Amino acid sequence: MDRSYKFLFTGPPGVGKTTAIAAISDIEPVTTEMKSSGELANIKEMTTTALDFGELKLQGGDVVRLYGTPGQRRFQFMWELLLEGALGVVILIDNMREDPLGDLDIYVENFSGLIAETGAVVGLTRSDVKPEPGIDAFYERLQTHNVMLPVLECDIRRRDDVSLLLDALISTIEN
Amino acid sequence: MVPLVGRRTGFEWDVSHTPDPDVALVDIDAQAAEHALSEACAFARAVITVSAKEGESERPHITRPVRSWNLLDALNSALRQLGELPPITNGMCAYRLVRWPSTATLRHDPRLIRVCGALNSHPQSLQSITQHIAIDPEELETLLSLLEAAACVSKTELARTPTGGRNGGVAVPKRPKLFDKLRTRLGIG
Amino acid sequence: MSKRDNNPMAEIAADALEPLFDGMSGLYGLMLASADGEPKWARLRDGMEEDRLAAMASSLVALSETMAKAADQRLSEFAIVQNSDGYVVSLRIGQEYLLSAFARRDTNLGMLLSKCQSAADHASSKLS
Repeated sequence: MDRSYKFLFTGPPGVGKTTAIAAISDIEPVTTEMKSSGELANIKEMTTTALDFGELKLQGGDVVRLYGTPGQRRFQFMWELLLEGALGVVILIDNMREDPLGDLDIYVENFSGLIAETGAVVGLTRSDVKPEPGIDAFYERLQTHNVMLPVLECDIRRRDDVSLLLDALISTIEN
Repeated sequence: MVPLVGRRTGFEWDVSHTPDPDVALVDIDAQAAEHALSEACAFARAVITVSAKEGESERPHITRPVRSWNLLDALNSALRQLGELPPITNGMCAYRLVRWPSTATLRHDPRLIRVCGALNSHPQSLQSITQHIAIDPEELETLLSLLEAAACVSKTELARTPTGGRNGGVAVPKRPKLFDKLRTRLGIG
Repeated sequence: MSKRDNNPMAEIAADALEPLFDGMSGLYGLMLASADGEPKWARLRDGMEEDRLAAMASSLVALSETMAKAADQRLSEFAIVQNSDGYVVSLRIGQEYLLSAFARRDTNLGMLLSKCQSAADHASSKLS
């Protein structure tokens, strides 16, 4: 019987969860977008308000499902629904945002249960544009959460970078 | 192997066929092994036998394949019997992951992803890592040195580490097939 | 519980939506939210959390429309959740807003949908 597995992509609004899933999905990702309002509207026209969904078909018929969460905190109920049964989580952080370390806190805290049971990787985007805070600062912040996660700079538009994030994630899970 | 042993013991070792070595390694499966063994016992300060089978005498013995930690154990055993040279430290270390290397470094050598993945949740010895991931121990030692040089791992000496069997056999537990398939699918297998 | 945003836009919406409570005794909650789930105006029973419900309405409508597309259907009109003791109805007001209504099960569903649509049309003309 074909089996399906699940990985989650999360992170603040506009960080590129939908884009990251699209970079590696075998299917055109299913999106659930609505018109942005408020400050977010200055960054992007549409925003995910339910979930993104992509798929990787494996040899033998198994399927890996890639779910993207909505970014805004008011959709925390969706984060809770979506993390059920996930094998691990990719936390994308945009270094151009006002407080990337604060963003990291939010997602590490909200997904702490899943992280403890499985694993996570942090994908840091746009650090080439804004280098501070540096990666060391992220590792120091992770220490305050008593957790070690890979923190890897990435361009989520690139399939290779997203694949590397998944490779790091599954390397932590399989051990 | 010799440089590895040198690093572990803090001595410089040299392989030679001189008649009076400090330590003689005798392959007792080879032809004329009996003669070689008796010569070694006569002239070497310490003798270690090497064979595909388990050793039968009280003499220090290594069952193939020869791993560096087995050699060190045997050296310790041999030299302890002599009571003349200070015991060589086991040389076993626990490696603790401090941070992952950069994306560029990981792209350059994806084996580092496996190694860091193995160390991500808790410190491990070299031997224990080889039991988690299928990698040659000497390649692993090189990768760990790279990580140490990049300040990605820190190393602490262990008092004694189980050798995992006389022949130091490396057992690689089965990884979930899903992850192998996923890596293949993503072109990173 | 009633929330009136200081924003005059929300005031206008309240005038267009409040009358729904007249003539529909089963209606116990009404909410206007941005399409991406931020509450703008609400009149809800005590204990109902408008922030959470506004976000949920956005998720519901977004997912409903995606599902409809996957089922080869277009132009979503209502997302209706029928429960043992009530209805939740959500619909769009243009591209930027959502109207959600919460009613008891003894409410006439057809009337509820019709009145919500009229109210949405009315609000749309005032909000644009």
